[in-house]
Amino acid sequence: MSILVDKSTRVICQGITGSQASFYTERAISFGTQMVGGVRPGKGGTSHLGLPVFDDVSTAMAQTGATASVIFVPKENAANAIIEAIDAEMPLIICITEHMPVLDMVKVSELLKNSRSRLLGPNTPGVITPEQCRIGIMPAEIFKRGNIGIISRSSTLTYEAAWQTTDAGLGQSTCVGIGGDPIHGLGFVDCLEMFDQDEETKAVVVIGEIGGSEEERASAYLANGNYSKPVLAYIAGQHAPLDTRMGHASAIIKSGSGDAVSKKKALSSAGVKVIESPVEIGSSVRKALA
Amino acid sequence: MDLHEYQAKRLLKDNSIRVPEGDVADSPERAEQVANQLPSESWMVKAQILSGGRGQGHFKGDEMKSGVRPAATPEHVSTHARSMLGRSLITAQTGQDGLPVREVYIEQAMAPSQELSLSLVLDEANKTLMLLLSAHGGVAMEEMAKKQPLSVAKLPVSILHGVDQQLLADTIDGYQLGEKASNSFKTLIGHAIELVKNNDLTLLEINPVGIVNDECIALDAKITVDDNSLFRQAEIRAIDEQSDRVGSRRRASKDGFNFIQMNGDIACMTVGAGLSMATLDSLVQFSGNPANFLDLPPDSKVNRVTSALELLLSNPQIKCLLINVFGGGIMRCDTVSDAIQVVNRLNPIKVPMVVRLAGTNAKLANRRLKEGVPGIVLASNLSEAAKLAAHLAATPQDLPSASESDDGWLKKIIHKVSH
Repeated sequence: MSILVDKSTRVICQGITGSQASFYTERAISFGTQMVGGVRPGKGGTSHLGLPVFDDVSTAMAQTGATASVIFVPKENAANAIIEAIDAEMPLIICITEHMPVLDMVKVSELLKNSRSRLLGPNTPGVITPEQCRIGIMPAEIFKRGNIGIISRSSTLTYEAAWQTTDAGLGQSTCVGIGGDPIHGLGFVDCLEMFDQDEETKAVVVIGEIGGSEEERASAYLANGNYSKPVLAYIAGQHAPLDTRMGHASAIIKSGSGDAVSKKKALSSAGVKVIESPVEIGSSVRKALA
Repeated sequence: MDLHEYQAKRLLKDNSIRVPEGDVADSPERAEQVANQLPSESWMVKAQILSGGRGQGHFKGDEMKSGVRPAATPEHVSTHARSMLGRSLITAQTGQDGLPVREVYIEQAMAPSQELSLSLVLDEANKTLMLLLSAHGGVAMEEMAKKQPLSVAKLPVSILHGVDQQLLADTIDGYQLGEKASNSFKTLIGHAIELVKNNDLTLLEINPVGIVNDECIALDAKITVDDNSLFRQAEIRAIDEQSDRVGSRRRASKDGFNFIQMNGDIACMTVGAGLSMATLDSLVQFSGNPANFLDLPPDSKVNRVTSALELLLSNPQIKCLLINVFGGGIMRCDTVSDAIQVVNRLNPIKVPMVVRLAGTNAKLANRRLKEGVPGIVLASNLSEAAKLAAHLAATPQDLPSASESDDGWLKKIIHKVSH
């Protein structure tokens, strides 16, 4: 068991002929991910890296039975690529693209609401279920099959947390990067719900950071005390300079939240074990499971 | 990217939102000339800095003078401009050093019968645009919002379908502005929503909106444009380039990385914002003082890492350099080790250097550094790296001597730090 992806996940890549997409598709294939095709308008009928290429997502889905799509399309067209995948009713869409215009994501979020798709990202390193399926750009060698679920806003801290849990002899069920953009698809709460249902996962590590309200919403979700497994959290940016002041209007929506202290307090009062230092992620999880 | 008031007002005017007549000036002479050309009996002189609270702010060394002042004659306009230009304006948002005033905006003074306000902001939690309306304007609006949060109406704005017209009409009817002014406010809101959508704004704040002869006029404006959208916003790009020439905008990521100066003595370089923040957190945990936050994007090539290193080493305060990189994605550790070797060859690095590399190609990079950069300290994890950097900044005499083996030295120092 795992969440989001496993060995039965069939993956296509949108924008497969690009250099980054090619690089990571090759790595995914050698990892053992079931890559079943790619999409590149105008190149339908050709093949790339031994995979069939299609003109559009719905044809690719019909021909390959794909259940997930990873998007490596440049930011200028990334929103259109996501919308195309939503229209094709792709179950899982993972958008690696960075620096997407935020209003494009507002529009995508509206379209996702009544859709059959789930979106991870944008600006995500992707998702990995060790030894089964890797989608995205995470370095495979630091992961190990195990029982810890990891959810993170930051790519590099996903790696740090994964490496520390591997080093502590634990390993991971699934690691999910939800992406660093202000408006994104799946969030902490969505992933916590999935890990709660996953038998293989024995504890969940949440890696948050200052700004936004993912951590506050996770706290509200966990506060009823019905969660079935230990949750640990580290919040990055406890000593980061806080001189980026928001305009008045956004301060009204966000007043009283956003800094590390208030996030840690919210999580802690919801029963989450707060990890004070980023060097103690592995050891804290081991202690929680002892 | 934030726009100056005068740039924001030009954008409003170009999008059918009425603003007072005005123009920008960079000298007292030009300010007087602008005043003479405006069809007005009285004027406002407004310091152009990228910060709110200018009206309640004061100039450095002059507690009495605010950043927004009325003037009764063109000569007064010139006098005010002279006392603002080239000086720093301190507001509740600028910090104690304030921000230098390089331009002033001169506009016709208005006498509104009533003030309102509106903002369009991103609501990240609800993944939507939100329209915020208040029947109060200026400082009064902020005070009301604090005392009675419900006095600010929040209306979701759909990118696809706009704002619920009935909800909007009900809200504005509640303000009892009279039919003509109400319609004018609704029209202004419609233009504001289009402006946000068409120009990729992440914040549009018009506070106050003044009602003059039953017509709504934007008396002040604050605009933030989404940097990620500049590829499709030619007009905004032109404004950006013009500001860059004047030198009035701080460009955080001009060199392709995020850099924030801090007060400590340990220079830090990391790839990724999360790990950068975590690196500072762990340094502080072991009593180290970070000199900066520097986050390199993962697609950095050797030359960008090199210029980041050179920027860090140009700080005379630093006593130690800490590099913490988790190779992954397209970032490979050997890119970092190559950059360290290039910089060290051109100009040998004199401060102790602690490097922790993990992930993609870490072994290769560590081997190259060990062979190519004598004296470099290679740490095997974040904890060790932070401890060593904090220790070496405080105790530089503890650097390994030529006769000591690396492992022996590392064990000795880690033992010392842990006890």
